[in-house]
Amino acid sequence: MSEAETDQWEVRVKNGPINLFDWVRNVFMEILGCDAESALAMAKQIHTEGETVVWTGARAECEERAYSLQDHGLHAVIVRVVT
Amino acid sequence: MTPLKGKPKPLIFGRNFRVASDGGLSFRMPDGESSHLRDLGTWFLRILDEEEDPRTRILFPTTYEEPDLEAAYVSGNRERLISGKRQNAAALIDAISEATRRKGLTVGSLDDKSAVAWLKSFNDMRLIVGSDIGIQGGEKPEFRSHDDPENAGWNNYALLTWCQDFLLHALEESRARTKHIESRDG
Repeated sequence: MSEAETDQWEVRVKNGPINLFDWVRNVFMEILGCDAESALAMAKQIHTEGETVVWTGARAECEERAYSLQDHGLHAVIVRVVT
Repeated sequence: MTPLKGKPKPLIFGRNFRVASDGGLSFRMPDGESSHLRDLGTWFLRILDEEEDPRTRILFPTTYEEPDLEAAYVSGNRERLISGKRQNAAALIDAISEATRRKGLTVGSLDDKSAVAWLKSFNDMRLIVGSDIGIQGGEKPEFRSHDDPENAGWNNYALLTWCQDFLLHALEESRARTKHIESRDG
């Protein structure tokens, strides 16, 4: 691990042209446990910026979230946090 | 992502899901439409069974940039992901096969778990069909006439899109009513 890397990871969801807005919002509420307003804000950010960070934490918990998001058809990736 | 603005006119396809006053969720659709959804589910299962079918790549995005981490993630999760997608499609196929048919309509009930399985399967199939017809985002899921050479893919995409959208909102309504009843009755 280089000095700039940490043991923290983040799950990012990338924009997909086919997924429905309301579906993404609903999945965020289900998987991440966030409220409707936060879920909608994240969905909008993905739509406008191409991706957003939806979870930060240890690698195992990031994998758990990424798996659940992929299970619902979302394009979730895991990236190491670099400071 | 695709924000849905406006509903198709006339609204025939997709509005197949109803919520009773007690929160119970049911489906009621023309036999032709239920058979078509079942056929799509069977087609999807066949694609999943074909090893390395390029059409399924969209269902399994690369999770890590680092090859060793990606290999470990795939090894630990890919089969479980595929298995879940198979089970969801099978739930759709089985529910339609076991539903009641009367006067040209296919009628049945859905519990929360089954509704989620249908939604996931609709989404999986939309990802494949939508990629196949080149959806870039923002296209309205419209039905196309028989003389359009691309009508099959577009009509499947439209049917799956409206089914997913209507079922999702019906499920949210079902949960809200059930929650309201539970809190009212203590």
